[in-house]
Amino acid sequence: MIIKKKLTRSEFITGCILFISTFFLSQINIPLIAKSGLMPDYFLALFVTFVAARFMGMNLYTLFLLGLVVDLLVGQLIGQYALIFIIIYFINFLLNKYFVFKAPVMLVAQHLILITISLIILLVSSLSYELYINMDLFVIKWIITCGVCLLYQKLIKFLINKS
Amino acid sequence: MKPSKKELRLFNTSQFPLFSLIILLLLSFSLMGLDYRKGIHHDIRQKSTFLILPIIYVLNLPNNISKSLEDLFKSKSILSEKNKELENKIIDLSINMQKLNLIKAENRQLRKTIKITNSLSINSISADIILPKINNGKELIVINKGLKDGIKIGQPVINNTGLIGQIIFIGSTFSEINPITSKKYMVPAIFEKAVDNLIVRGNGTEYLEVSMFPAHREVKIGAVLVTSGIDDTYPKGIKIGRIIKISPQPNNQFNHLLIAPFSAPKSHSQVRVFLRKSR
Repeated sequence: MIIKKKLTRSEFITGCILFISTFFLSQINIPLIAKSGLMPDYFLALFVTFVAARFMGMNLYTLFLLGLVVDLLVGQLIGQYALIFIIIYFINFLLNKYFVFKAPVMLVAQHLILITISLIILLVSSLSYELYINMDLFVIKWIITCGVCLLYQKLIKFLINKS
Repeated sequence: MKPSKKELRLFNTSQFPLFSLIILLLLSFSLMGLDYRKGIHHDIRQKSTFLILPIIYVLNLPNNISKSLEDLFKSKSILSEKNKELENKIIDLSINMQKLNLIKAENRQLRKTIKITNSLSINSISADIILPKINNGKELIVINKGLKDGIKIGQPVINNTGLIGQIIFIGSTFSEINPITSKKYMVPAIFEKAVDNLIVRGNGTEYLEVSMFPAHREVKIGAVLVTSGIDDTYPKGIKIGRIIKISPQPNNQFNHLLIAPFSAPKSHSQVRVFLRKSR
Protein backbone atom coordinates (compact mmCIF):
# COMPACT_ATOMS: atom_id res chain seq x y z
CA MET A 1 0.00 0.00 0.00
CA ILE A 2 1.21 3.49 -0.77
CA ILE A 3 1.69 5.33 2.50
CA LYS A 4 1.58 9.09 2.32
CA LYS A 5 5.01 10.23 3.40
CA LYS A 6 5.80 13.56 4.99
CA LEU A 7 8.42 15.48 3.08
CA THR A 8 11.50 15.87 5.27
CA ARG A 9 13.97 18.70 4.91
CA SER A 10 16.89 16.39 4.11
CA GLU A 11 14.82 14.65 1.44
CA PHE A 12 13.91 17.99 -0.10
CA ILE A 13 17.55 19.15 -0.17
CA THR A 14 18.67 15.79 -1.65
CA GLY A 15 15.98 16.09 -4.32
CA CYS A 16 17.07 19.62 -5.22
CA ILE A 17 20.74 18.59 -5.41
CA LEU A 18 19.86 15.62 -7.62
CA PHE A 19 17.75 17.84 -9.88
CA ILE A 20 20.49 20.46 -10.29
CA SER A 21 23.20 17.82 -10.84
CA THR A 22 20.99 16.17 -13.44
CA PHE A 23 20.61 19.49 -15.21
CA PHE A 24 24.40 19.93 -15.23
CA LEU A 25 24.86 16.35 -16.47
CA SER A 26 22.44 16.97 -19.32
CA GLN A 27 24.57 19.93 -20.43
CA ILE A 28 27.92 18.15 -20.24
CA ASN A 29 29.40 16.48 -23.26
CA ILE A 30 30.87 13.19 -22.04
CA PRO A 31 33.70 12.28 -24.46
CA LEU A 32 32.97 8.53 -24.69
CA ILE A 33 29.33 9.05 -25.56
CA ALA A 34 29.68 12.44 -27.21
CA LYS A 35 28.19 11.34 -30.50
CA SER A 36 24.85 13.03 -30.89
CA GLY A 37 21.88 10.96 -29.87
CA LEU A 38 23.84 8.61 -27.67
CA MET A 39 23.29 10.73 -24.58
CA PRO A 40 20.87 9.27 -22.05
CA ASP A 41 17.78 11.18 -21.04
CA TYR A 42 18.95 12.02 -17.52
CA PHE A 43 15.71 13.71 -16.48
CA LEU A 44 13.59 10.72 -17.47
CA ALA A 45 15.95 8.43 -15.55
CA LEU A 46 15.79 10.68 -12.48
CA PHE A 47 12.02 11.07 -12.42
CA VAL A 48 11.35 7.39 -13.08
CA THR A 49 13.51 6.66 -10.03
CA PHE A 50 11.76 9.37 -7.99
CA VAL A 51 8.33 7.98 -8.87
CA ALA A 52 9.28 4.31 -8.40
CA ALA A 53 10.97 4.99 -5.07
CA ARG A 54 8.16 7.39 -4.06
CA PHE A 55 10.93 9.83 -3.22
CA MET A 56 9.79 13.10 -1.63
CA GLY A 57 6.20 11.76 -1.74
CA MET A 58 5.60 13.45 -5.09
CA ASN A 59 2.01 13.68 -6.26
CA LEU A 60 0.55 14.27 -9.71
CA TYR A 61 0.55 18.06 -9.40
CA THR A 62 4.17 18.28 -8.21
CA LEU A 63 5.26 16.01 -11.05
CA PHE A 64 3.31 18.07 -13.56
CA LEU A 65 4.92 21.32 -12.36
CA LEU A 66 8.40 19.77 -12.29
CA GLY A 67 7.73 18.45 -15.79
CA LEU A 68 7.00 21.99 -16.95
CA VAL A 69 10.27 23.17 -15.36
CA VAL A 70 12.16 20.39 -17.19
CA ASP A 71 10.40 21.39 -20.42
CA LEU A 72 11.56 24.94 -19.89
CA LEU A 73 15.14 23.95 -19.15
CA VAL A 74 15.86 21.19 -21.65
CA GLY A 75 12.66 20.41 -23.51
CA GLN A 76 11.62 21.18 -27.05
CA LEU A 77 7.87 21.40 -26.51
CA ILE A 78 6.07 22.79 -23.46
CA GLY A 79 4.08 20.05 -21.72
CA GLN A 80 6.02 17.12 -23.17
CA TYR A 81 7.90 16.10 -20.03
CA ALA A 82 4.92 17.11 -17.87
CA LEU A 83 2.79 14.62 -19.80
CA ILE A 84 5.42 11.90 -19.52
CA PHE A 85 5.86 12.37 -15.77
CA ILE A 86 2.14 12.13 -15.01
CA ILE A 87 1.83 9.03 -17.19
CA ILE A 88 4.80 7.47 -15.36
CA TYR A 89 3.00 8.20 -12.08
CA PHE A 90 -0.19 6.61 -13.36
CA ILE A 91 1.56 3.49 -14.68
CA ASN A 92 3.57 3.11 -11.50
CA PHE A 93 0.30 3.32 -9.54
CA LEU A 94 -1.22 0.56 -11.67
CA LEU A 95 1.89 -1.61 -11.35
CA ASN A 96 1.82 -1.25 -7.57
CA LYS A 97 -1.84 -2.24 -7.59
CA TYR A 98 -1.16 -5.63 -9.16
CA PHE A 99 2.46 -6.44 -8.27
CA VAL A 100 4.70 -6.28 -5.25
CA PHE A 101 8.05 -4.70 -6.03
CA LYS A 102 10.29 -5.90 -3.23
CA ALA A 103 12.89 -8.21 -4.81
CA PRO A 104 15.80 -6.45 -6.59
CA VAL A 105 14.95 -8.13 -9.92
CA MET A 106 11.39 -6.85 -9.73
CA LEU A 107 12.58 -3.36 -8.88
CA VAL A 108 14.83 -3.43 -11.94
CA ALA A 109 11.90 -4.67 -14.04
CA GLN A 110 9.70 -1.87 -12.67
CA HIS A 111 12.28 0.76 -13.66
CA LEU A 112 12.77 -0.77 -17.10
CA ILE A 113 9.03 -0.82 -17.78
CA LEU A 114 8.66 2.82 -16.74
CA ILE A 115 11.71 3.94 -18.75
CA THR A 116 10.54 2.08 -21.86
CA ILE A 117 7.04 3.56 -21.70
CA SER A 118 8.33 7.07 -21.04
CA LEU A 119 10.85 6.90 -23.91
CA ILE A 120 8.14 5.66 -26.28
CA ILE A 121 5.90 8.59 -25.29
CA LEU A 122 8.86 10.94 -25.76
CA LEU A 123 9.53 9.47 -29.21
CA VAL A 124 5.89 9.72 -30.28
CA SER A 125 5.44 13.26 -28.98
CA SER A 126 8.73 14.39 -30.53
CA LEU A 127 7.44 13.46 -33.99
CA SER A 128 5.86 16.92 -34.10
CA TYR A 129 9.26 18.62 -34.24
CA GLU A 130 11.78 15.94 -35.23
CA LEU A 131 12.26 15.65 -38.97
CA TYR A 132 13.88 12.25 -38.79
CA ILE A 133 13.69 9.37 -36.33
CA ASN A 134 16.71 7.12 -36.15
CA MET A 135 15.59 3.84 -34.54
CA ASP A 136 19.14 2.58 -33.96
CA LEU A 137 19.98 5.68 -31.95
CA PHE A 138 16.69 5.33 -30.08
CA VAL A 139 17.56 1.78 -29.01
CA ILE A 140 21.03 2.86 -27.87
CA LYS A 141 19.48 5.78 -25.99
CA TRP A 142 17.05 3.36 -24.32
CA ILE A 143 19.89 1.10 -23.17
CA ILE A 144 21.97 4.01 -21.82
CA THR A 145 18.97 5.63 -20.11
CA CYS A 146 18.11 2.30 -18.44
CA GLY A 147 21.68 2.11 -17.16
CA VAL A 148 21.55 5.65 -15.79
CA CYS A 149 18.15 4.94 -14.23
CA LEU A 150 19.50 1.92 -12.37
CA LEU A 151 22.43 4.00 -11.15
CA TYR A 152 20.00 6.63 -9.88
CA GLN A 153 18.01 3.86 -8.19
CA LYS A 154 21.10 2.66 -6.31
CA LEU A 155 21.99 6.24 -5.39
CA ILE A 156 18.53 7.07 -4.06
CA LYS A 157 18.35 3.78 -2.16
CA PHE A 158 21.69 4.61 -0.57
CA LEU A 159 20.55 8.14 0.31
CA ILE A 160 17.25 6.89 1.78
CA ASN A 161 19.05 4.28 3.88
CA LYS A 162 21.56 6.88 5.06
CA SER A 163 18.89 9.32 6.16
CA MET B 1 -12.77 -7.73 4.38
CA LYS B 2 -10.63 -4.88 5.61
CA PRO B 3 -7.06 -5.83 6.51
CA SER B 4 -6.05 -5.25 10.11
CA LYS B 5 -3.40 -2.68 10.97
CA LYS B 6 -0.83 -5.33 11.82
CA GLU B 7 -1.41 -7.24 8.60
CA LEU B 8 1.17 -6.70 5.84
CA ARG B 9 -0.51 -4.68 3.08
CA LEU B 10 1.66 -5.11 0.06
CA PHE B 11 -0.53 -3.91 -2.74
CA ASN B 12 -1.61 -0.40 -3.53
CA THR B 13 -5.26 -0.20 -2.54
CA SER B 14 -5.71 3.55 -2.46
CA GLN B 15 -7.93 5.37 -4.92
CA PHE B 16 -6.21 6.91 -7.89
CA PRO B 17 -6.87 10.63 -8.51
CA LEU B 18 -8.38 9.94 -11.91
CA PHE B 19 -10.05 13.32 -12.20
CA SER B 20 -6.74 15.14 -11.59
CA LEU B 21 -5.02 12.87 -14.11
CA ILE B 22 -7.56 13.67 -16.80
CA ILE B 23 -7.34 17.41 -16.09
CA LEU B 24 -3.54 17.35 -16.17
CA LEU B 25 -3.48 15.22 -19.32
CA LEU B 26 -5.79 17.69 -21.05
CA LEU B 27 -3.67 20.57 -19.80
CA SER B 28 -0.43 19.05 -21.10
CA PHE B 29 -1.99 18.22 -24.46
CA SER B 30 -3.34 21.77 -24.76
CA LEU B 31 0.07 23.20 -23.83
CA MET B 32 1.78 21.00 -26.42
CA GLY B 33 -0.76 21.98 -29.06
CA LEU B 34 -0.46 25.64 -28.20
CA ASP B 35 3.31 25.45 -28.32
CA TYR B 36 3.24 23.62 -31.64
CA ARG B 37 0.93 26.23 -33.17
CA LYS B 38 2.14 29.43 -31.52
CA GLY B 39 5.68 28.58 -30.40
CA ILE B 40 5.19 29.77 -26.83
CA HIS B 41 8.12 27.66 -25.62
CA HIS B 42 10.56 29.94 -27.39
CA ASP B 43 9.02 33.11 -25.92
CA ILE B 44 8.96 31.69 -22.40
CA ARG B 45 12.56 30.47 -22.70
CA GLN B 46 13.66 33.84 -24.01
CA LYS B 47 12.07 35.57 -21.03
CA SER B 48 13.60 33.13 -18.58
CA THR B 49 17.19 33.13 -19.85
CA PHE B 50 18.23 34.42 -16.42
CA LEU B 51 17.70 30.83 -15.20
CA ILE B 52 20.11 29.43 -17.79
CA LEU B 53 22.75 32.20 -17.65
CA PRO B 54 24.29 31.07 -14.30
CA ILE B 55 24.54 27.51 -15.66
CA ILE B 56 26.32 28.75 -18.78
CA TYR B 57 28.62 30.83 -16.57
CA VAL B 58 29.47 27.85 -14.33
CA LEU B 59 30.04 25.53 -17.32
CA ASN B 60 32.41 28.03 -18.91
CA LEU B 61 34.17 28.93 -15.68
CA PRO B 62 36.98 26.31 -15.85
CA ASN B 63 37.66 27.22 -19.46
CA ASN B 64 37.68 30.95 -18.67
CA ILE B 65 39.97 30.46 -15.66
CA SER B 66 42.44 28.39 -17.69
CA LYS B 67 42.40 31.01 -20.45
CA SER B 68 43.03 33.84 -17.97
CA LEU B 69 45.87 31.89 -16.35
CA GLU B 70 47.35 31.12 -19.75
CA ASP B 71 47.21 34.81 -20.67
CA LEU B 72 48.78 35.74 -17.36
CA PHE B 73 51.74 33.41 -17.68
CA LYS B 74 52.39 33.77 -21.38
CA SER B 75 55.92 35.02 -21.83
CA LYS B 76 56.75 38.26 -23.56
CA SER B 77 58.91 36.53 -26.18
CA ILE B 78 56.05 34.29 -27.33
CA LEU B 79 53.80 37.32 -27.61
CA SER B 80 56.29 39.33 -29.64
CA GLU B 81 56.88 36.33 -31.92
CA LYS B 82 53.16 35.98 -32.46
CA ASN B 83 52.88 39.71 -33.07
CA LYS B 84 55.56 39.50 -35.77
CA GLU B 85 53.80 36.55 -37.36
CA LEU B 86 50.49 38.40 -37.37
CA GLU B 87 52.09 41.52 -38.85
CA ASN B 88 53.44 39.40 -41.70
CA LYS B 89 50.02 37.92 -42.15
CA ILE B 90 48.47 41.40 -42.32
CA ILE B 91 50.95 42.38 -45.06
CA ASP B 92 50.09 39.23 -47.04
CA LEU B 93 46.39 39.86 -46.59
CA SER B 94 46.64 43.51 -47.62
CA ILE B 95 48.43 42.44 -50.82
CA ASN B 96 45.66 39.93 -51.48
CA MET B 97 43.09 42.59 -50.64
CA GLN B 98 44.49 44.89 -53.32
CA LYS B 99 44.14 42.11 -55.87
CA LEU B 100 40.63 41.38 -54.61
CA ASN B 101 39.59 45.03 -54.90
CA LEU B 102 40.61 44.97 -58.51
CA ILE B 103 38.70 41.73 -59.12
CA LYS B 104 35.70 43.15 -57.26
CA ALA B 105 35.61 46.26 -59.40
CA GLU B 106 35.98 44.14 -62.52
CA ASN B 107 33.20 41.83 -61.30
CA ARG B 108 30.91 44.79 -60.61
CA GLN B 109 31.54 46.12 -64.08
CA LEU B 110 30.84 42.74 -65.66
CA ARG B 111 27.67 42.29 -63.59
CA LYS B 112 26.52 45.71 -64.71
CA THR B 113 27.20 44.78 -68.32
CA ILE B 114 25.25 41.52 -68.18
CA LYS B 115 22.65 42.97 -65.74
CA ILE B 116 23.01 40.57 -62.79
CA THR B 117 22.16 41.89 -59.33
CA ASN B 118 24.77 41.48 -56.66
CA SER B 119 23.48 38.88 -54.26
CA LEU B 120 26.76 37.98 -52.63
CA SER B 121 27.46 40.99 -50.43
CA ILE B 122 26.80 40.06 -46.85
CA ASN B 123 27.02 41.62 -43.44
CA SER B 124 28.36 39.33 -40.76
CA ILE B 125 29.43 39.33 -37.13
CA SER B 126 32.12 37.25 -35.44
CA ALA B 127 31.29 35.22 -32.31
CA ASP B 128 33.00 32.83 -29.91
CA ILE B 129 31.69 29.33 -29.25
CA ILE B 130 31.00 28.76 -25.55
CA LEU B 131 29.67 25.83 -23.50
CA PRO B 132 27.38 23.87 -23.28
CA LYS B 133 27.68 21.93 -26.53
CA ILE B 134 24.90 19.54 -25.69
CA ASN B 135 21.42 19.95 -24.23
CA ASN B 136 19.67 16.84 -22.97
CA GLY B 137 21.32 14.65 -25.60
CA LYS B 138 20.77 17.11 -28.42
CA GLU B 139 23.86 18.53 -29.98
CA LEU B 140 23.94 22.32 -30.17
CA ILE B 141 26.40 25.17 -30.40
CA VAL B 142 26.17 28.16 -28.08
CA ILE B 143 27.82 31.46 -29.04
CA ASN B 144 28.48 34.54 -26.96
CA LYS B 145 26.47 36.94 -29.13
CA GLY B 146 22.75 37.49 -28.81
CA LEU B 147 19.84 39.86 -29.18
CA LYS B 148 22.01 42.82 -28.15
CA ASP B 149 24.32 42.21 -31.10
CA GLY B 150 21.53 42.18 -33.66
CA ILE B 151 21.32 38.42 -34.10
CA LYS B 152 17.97 37.02 -35.24
CA ILE B 153 16.47 33.55 -35.47
CA GLY B 154 17.17 31.76 -38.74
CA GLN B 155 20.44 33.48 -39.55
CA PRO B 156 23.09 31.16 -41.01
CA VAL B 157 26.40 30.57 -39.26
CA ILE B 158 29.68 29.63 -40.95
CA ASN B 159 33.38 29.35 -40.22
CA ASN B 160 36.41 29.29 -42.47
CA THR B 161 35.77 25.67 -43.49
CA GLY B 162 32.10 25.90 -44.38
CA LEU B 163 28.52 25.98 -43.14
CA ILE B 164 28.02 25.33 -39.43
CA GLY B 165 24.32 25.74 -38.82
CA GLN B 166 21.48 28.12 -38.17
CA ILE B 167 20.43 30.25 -35.20
CA ILE B 168 17.48 28.64 -33.41
CA PHE B 169 17.32 30.50 -30.10
CA ILE B 170 18.48 33.93 -28.96
CA GLY B 171 19.04 35.10 -25.42
CA SER B 172 20.13 38.61 -24.57
CA THR B 173 23.84 37.73 -24.51
CA PHE B 174 23.99 34.28 -26.10
CA SER B 175 22.47 32.33 -28.97
CA GLU B 176 21.96 28.68 -29.75
CA ILE B 177 22.85 27.23 -33.13
CA ASN B 178 21.35 24.12 -34.65
CA PRO B 179 24.36 22.34 -36.19
CA ILE B 180 24.10 21.02 -39.74
CA THR B 181 24.43 17.44 -38.50
CA SER B 182 21.32 17.81 -36.31
CA LYS B 183 18.23 15.80 -37.19
CA LYS B 184 16.29 19.06 -37.32
CA TYR B 185 18.43 20.60 -40.01
CA MET B 186 17.83 20.96 -43.73
CA VAL B 187 19.53 23.18 -46.28
CA PRO B 188 18.98 23.66 -50.02
CA ALA B 189 22.17 22.73 -51.85
CA ILE B 190 23.68 22.47 -55.29
CA PHE B 191 26.69 20.61 -56.62
CA GLU B 192 29.74 22.79 -57.10
CA LYS B 193 30.25 21.41 -60.62
CA ALA B 194 26.69 20.47 -61.61
CA VAL B 195 23.21 21.93 -61.78
CA ASP B 196 21.19 19.55 -59.57
CA ASN B 197 19.34 21.26 -56.77
CA LEU B 198 18.76 19.11 -53.71
CA ILE B 199 17.91 19.26 -50.02
CA VAL B 200 20.63 18.13 -47.65
CA ARG B 201 19.65 17.16 -44.12
CA GLY B 202 21.38 16.13 -40.92
CA ASN B 203 20.71 12.63 -39.66
CA GLY B 204 21.75 12.97 -36.03
CA THR B 205 25.19 11.43 -36.57
CA GLU B 206 28.35 13.20 -37.72
CA TYR B 207 27.21 13.03 -41.36
CA LEU B 208 24.61 14.64 -43.59
CA GLU B 209 22.48 12.88 -46.14
CA VAL B 210 20.32 13.17 -49.22
CA SER B 211 17.85 10.33 -48.88
CA MET B 212 16.41 10.34 -52.41
CA PHE B 213 18.64 11.45 -55.24
CA PRO B 214 17.35 10.36 -58.67
CA ALA B 215 19.35 7.34 -59.84
CA HIS B 216 19.49 8.58 -63.45
CA ARG B 217 21.40 11.73 -62.44
CA GLU B 218 25.17 11.49 -62.45
CA VAL B 219 26.92 11.85 -59.12
CA LYS B 220 30.43 10.91 -58.02
CA ILE B 221 32.07 10.24 -54.69
CA GLY B 222 34.00 13.32 -53.66
CA ALA B 223 31.56 15.78 -55.30
CA VAL B 224 31.33 19.00 -53.31
CA LEU B 225 27.99 20.46 -52.23
CA VAL B 226 27.47 24.17 -51.64
CA THR B 227 24.45 26.21 -50.59
CA SER B 228 22.21 27.04 -53.53
CA GLY B 229 20.83 30.26 -52.07
CA ILE B 230 17.33 29.65 -53.46
CA ASP B 231 15.79 29.85 -49.98
CA ASP B 232 16.93 33.48 -49.53
CA THR B 233 18.33 32.54 -46.09
CA TYR B 234 21.74 31.18 -46.94
CA PRO B 235 24.09 33.07 -49.23
CA LYS B 236 24.93 31.15 -52.37
CA GLY B 237 28.16 29.16 -52.55
CA ILE B 238 28.94 28.31 -48.93
CA LYS B 239 30.62 24.92 -48.73
CA ILE B 240 28.52 22.23 -47.04
CA GLY B 241 30.26 18.90 -47.51
CA ARG B 242 31.67 16.20 -49.72
CA ILE B 243 29.89 13.00 -50.83
CA ILE B 244 31.55 9.96 -49.26
CA LYS B 245 29.09 7.17 -50.01
CA ILE B 246 26.44 6.49 -52.65
CA SER B 247 24.11 3.60 -51.98
CA PRO B 248 21.08 2.62 -54.10
CA GLN B 249 17.63 2.61 -52.52
CA PRO B 250 15.68 -0.71 -52.56
CA ASN B 251 13.49 0.40 -55.48
CA ASN B 252 16.53 1.37 -57.63
CA GLN B 253 14.83 4.64 -58.54
CA PHE B 254 16.85 6.70 -56.12
CA ASN B 255 20.30 6.78 -54.52
CA HIS B 256 21.10 7.59 -50.93
CA LEU B 257 23.99 10.04 -50.61
CA LEU B 258 26.07 10.26 -47.45
CA ILE B 259 27.90 13.54 -47.01
CA ALA B 260 30.80 14.42 -44.73
CA PRO B 261 30.48 18.07 -43.69
CA PHE B 262 33.48 20.36 -44.18
CA SER B 263 33.00 22.25 -40.94
CA ALA B 264 33.71 20.65 -37.61
CA PRO B 265 32.39 23.28 -35.23
CA LYS B 266 33.69 21.43 -32.19
CA SER B 267 37.26 21.90 -33.37
CA HIS B 268 36.84 25.65 -33.81
CA SER B 269 36.30 28.39 -31.31
CA GLN B 270 35.07 31.14 -33.59
CA VAL B 271 32.21 31.44 -36.05
CA ARG B 272 30.61 34.13 -38.17
CA VAL B 273 26.90 34.89 -38.20
CA PHE B 274 25.37 36.40 -41.32
CA LEU B 275 23.31 39.31 -40.10
CA ARG B 276 21.50 40.05 -43.32
CA LYS B 277 21.93 39.75 -47.03
CA SER B 278 22.07 43.12 -48.73
CA ARG B 279 20.76 43.20 -52.27
